Amino acid sequence: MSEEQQEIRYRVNGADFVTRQMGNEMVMVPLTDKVADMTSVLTLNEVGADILRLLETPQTKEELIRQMLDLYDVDESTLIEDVEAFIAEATQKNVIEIIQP
Amino acid sequence: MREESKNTEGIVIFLPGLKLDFSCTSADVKLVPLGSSLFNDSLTEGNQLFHVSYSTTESVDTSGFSRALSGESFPGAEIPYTWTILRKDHQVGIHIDFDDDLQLEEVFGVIDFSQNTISAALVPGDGVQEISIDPLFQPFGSVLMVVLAHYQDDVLVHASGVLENVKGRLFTAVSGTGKSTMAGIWKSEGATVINDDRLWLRKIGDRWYMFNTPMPYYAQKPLMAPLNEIFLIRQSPDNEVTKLAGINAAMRFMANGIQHFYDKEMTGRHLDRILDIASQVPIYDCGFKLSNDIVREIKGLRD
Repeated sequence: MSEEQQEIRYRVNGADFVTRQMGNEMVMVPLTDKVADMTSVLTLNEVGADILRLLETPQTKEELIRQMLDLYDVDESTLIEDVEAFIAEATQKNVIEIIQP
Repeated sequence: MREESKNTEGIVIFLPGLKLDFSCTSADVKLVPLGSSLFNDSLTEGNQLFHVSYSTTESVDTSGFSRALSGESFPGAEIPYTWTILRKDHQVGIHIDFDDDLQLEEVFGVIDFSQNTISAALVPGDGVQEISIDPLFQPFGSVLMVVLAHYQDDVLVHASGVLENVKGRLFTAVSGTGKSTMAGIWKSEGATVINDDRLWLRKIGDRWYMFNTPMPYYAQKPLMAPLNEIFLIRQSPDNEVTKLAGINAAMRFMANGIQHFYDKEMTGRHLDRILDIASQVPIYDCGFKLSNDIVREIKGLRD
């Protein structure tokens, strides 16, 4: 991984979604030009909700993984794989945004 | 001060939490309650009063308003139209453009939340001498109810609802999936049908209740029932009722809501209401076949 890539930070896209918590789960309603798109509502389980909560503060992937390892007693390589898959999908859905260094 | 009406009809319609006092400021508008005719009685206390006035005009003026949201009638509608919700400061505008209505070309109603007034200007069709409308004529009445329900933190949902003894049950689904059929089955077992198409949900104290609303084609008196159970229904070869949990249940219920939200705060408030309902009222996935057995199956449910 290049130095430049390591500096990439991720942050939850709070402006384009309305987010609410129910128990450990989370729901996100996308807004397009301020109008709610009720047909594209996203729901997240506890792990996804925790990742997004951590990304309220911009983090590098490594920082995020370190914090998730503090929260969950899981195998590191499995967690890295899961977090990377989550970030890829969430970025594609515009749920999290990339902050270039 | 409100303009003195020239043709005061003295028509009052109650909706959950609301008292609408109608008048006409043009002699060529006649209010003839049809679907809303029996809604002259209130089921709720402490209603907020809105003065609604209708007048005729040659053309509507939407200047200063910005478009928030728009939509159109379903394909194949008898009278096709386009609706738009507009905003300006404390005001919300509702513009209806009829494609081929015999009486009306256009309507522009302005709800002023700082004055509690609703003023609607009606543009008559060519050669129309007198406009005769229900006070909550379609589709203006429906869009108005959507705006007013949201304003007071209520929820409108495509659903049927029944009251059996003291228990209120709501059945929701997309159109054509059996809301009316389910209501009919419960009616044949002695339950009261609150409505078989659209319900207005309102929290009173710490409990949610369901209400019927005026419908264009049939006159019903106002009814209400506690919201004790919610069923997401689908027709199935066998009866199968499964309790749903968490956010998945809440979102599947929300999918059948009548929801037109045009800003972040508004959407957030709606989500809060839906999650509040889901935290309080059990939600079930309900496959049912066309027989009265489903009534017994549902009555036998234990949380």
